[in-house]
Amino acid sequence: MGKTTEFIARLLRPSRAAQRPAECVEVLATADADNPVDAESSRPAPNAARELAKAIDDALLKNQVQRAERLADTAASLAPTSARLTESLARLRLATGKTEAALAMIDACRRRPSSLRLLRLVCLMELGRNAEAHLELSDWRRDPVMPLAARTLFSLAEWDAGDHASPLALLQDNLAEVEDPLTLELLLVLAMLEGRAGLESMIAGRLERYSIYPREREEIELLFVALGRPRPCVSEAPAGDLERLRLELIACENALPILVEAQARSFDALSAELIVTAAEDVVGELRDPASAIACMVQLHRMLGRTDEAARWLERGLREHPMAAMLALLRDTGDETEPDAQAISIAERLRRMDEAA
Amino acid sequence: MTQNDRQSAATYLHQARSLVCDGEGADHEQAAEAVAWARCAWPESLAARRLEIRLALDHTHADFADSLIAQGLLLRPNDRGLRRLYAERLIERGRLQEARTLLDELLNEQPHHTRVLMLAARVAGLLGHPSRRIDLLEQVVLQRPADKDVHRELIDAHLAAERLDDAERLIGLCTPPSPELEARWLAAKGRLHDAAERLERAERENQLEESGAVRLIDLLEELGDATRLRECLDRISADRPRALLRAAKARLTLGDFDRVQRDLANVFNTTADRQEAAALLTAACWATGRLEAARMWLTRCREEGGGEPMRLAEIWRRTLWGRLRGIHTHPHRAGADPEASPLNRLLRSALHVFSLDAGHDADDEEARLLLDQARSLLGDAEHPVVSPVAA
Repeated sequence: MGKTTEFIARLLRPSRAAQRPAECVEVLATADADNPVDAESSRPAPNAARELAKAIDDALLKNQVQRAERLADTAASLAPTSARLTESLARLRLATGKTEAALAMIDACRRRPSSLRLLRLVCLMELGRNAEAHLELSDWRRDPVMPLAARTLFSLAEWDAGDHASPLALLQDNLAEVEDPLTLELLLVLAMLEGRAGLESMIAGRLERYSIYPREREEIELLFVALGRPRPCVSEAPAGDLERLRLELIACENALPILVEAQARSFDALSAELIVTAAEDVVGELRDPASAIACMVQLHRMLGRTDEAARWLERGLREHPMAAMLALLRDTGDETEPDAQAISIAERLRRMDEAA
Repeated sequence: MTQNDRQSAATYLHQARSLVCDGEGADHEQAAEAVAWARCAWPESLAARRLEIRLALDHTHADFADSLIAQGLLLRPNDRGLRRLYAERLIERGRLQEARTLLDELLNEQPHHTRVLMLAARVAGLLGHPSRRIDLLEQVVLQRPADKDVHRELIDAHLAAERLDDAERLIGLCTPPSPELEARWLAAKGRLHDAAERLERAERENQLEESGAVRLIDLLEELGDATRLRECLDRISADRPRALLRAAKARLTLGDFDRVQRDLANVFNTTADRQEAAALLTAACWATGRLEAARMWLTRCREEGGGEPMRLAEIWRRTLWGRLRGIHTHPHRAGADPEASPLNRLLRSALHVFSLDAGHDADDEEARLLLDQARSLLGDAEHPVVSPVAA
């Protein structure tokens, strides 16, 4: 590039930036101040592409389609170099019914990670190119690291193609690796349709355990009743969830007081029991053990276990004599106990009624 | 019975017959009144009883019709009209072998009775005897060569028996041409795209009947062309209740749950099949987390009879497929599944509690604060809180 051209280009740079939508400039400005976008080569810094992708996703999540479209218009030229950005753009195109454009965008991307490959298959299915999608999924199936979502998609493609046996096996394979209620629900319904009573009852048993979570409980109860099954009756969490919850509480200890406050506002014996069991093992590993101990005191009181609550309070005051929350709990005593106990009993009676 | 009674009964009977046979356009109350007067004037009249049964069946009072048939047959076990009606009810109730035996007896007595032939053909089709169905329908066609419905029924029988050449010949004789039958023939030949195009052309030319619209949805689903299917579904209007129900079912698979709720809730009272509509609405509300509404529709569904388990399971299969489709196209699908963590499940419940409290009490500042905190934790949790198990 000659010196004059370079000079003109430099002069034009700010005006080009001004032509971009305001949101885009804002996103790019916050993306990577030390490593700005090179407007001439249209090659974004990796952070910029990621930030743009995130901004498009957020706009789409908030249903701000026009904003997402404006961001996408500018970001489109940068997409082929960034799989993450391509994915966001393709999802936007898919959400706005421009499936062909989404597919073209994915095909133009230089790198294709699993999530993008999966999205490409969704696009093919949307466009009625089911045979093509099915063939690619069959190829992918030979890969031992085929993602779970792709396996689910494959099982549904097989079902639609008239093979009703292998989807059941594929979904069971998925469950052996990671269990989730949606796959269990799907498998339950497919087992019903196929008349596999044994599998149906086994899956229902596993799904029932998700009723320990209040929101899931309502959904699962409704599904069971709609399908003519008895209401779920559960006393323990899904396998592995207790251990995961312990790890998650260590990683995000701010969540514990929020969960306790939610229990104080709307007590749910099953989930309270799960929280208290998970939390008691990790209290010592938290950055703010005094707050965690206060949470334990409150939870035990709600569950009607006054002795346990008193033991935790005593330990808390011994280890953290200056903790205001613990002092407050000592002063308030267990005046909430009778009500909480009554609620707990009522809750258990309700569950017994439902089980009956 | 006096001569006067007979005369007045005959007058009422005539009036009732003309009203009942008017079909959909008839005034039900007037017809019922005429039948009641006729039965009053002549209680043993089987003709009046048959009209009353027909009236009950036309207005889906099946149990009442069944009791009238039973009473009538007790009085006159050999009455052919009542036995025909009984055969119809047996078919409706799925008691096909009994219906077949009864119809064979009736055919022995009246070998050329078109109604009996038609019923026998229907039973043959349902029992999986396509050749017999065709033989019976050909006898009807000989007696009623100008009857378009019989003609269509015969084409349908040829298509079901995969006698495609015969079907093609008969389709060519249809005046005006039937796009639906042509499409069925094309589909039977394996030309699904051509079949869908034929129906779409008929739709553009306003020649597509409701059953054709249902067939078009079937075909587009079979082709798996979601874009074209969505366009087709958007064209289904509320004045086609059966097609609207079929469209709602297709929308469940596409994950278009809000639209199902909008489309069906408005026409629920006038819909073709309330039980199915309520089951579809239950599933659509459930999928969008509107559990209160889902419970309400589930109760309605049960009030309407509950529904056959396989039919319900199929509705739920479609719903769950639609939900999965939504997850795959969701903007945050790229990361870890936010629902998969136990902490997020608990936080989601907490969020629900706080939002209810904040909604009920505008002064509950604490609930608002907690709501924001829970939201921010859920937002953050999608990326940093990834347990080693999930990783």
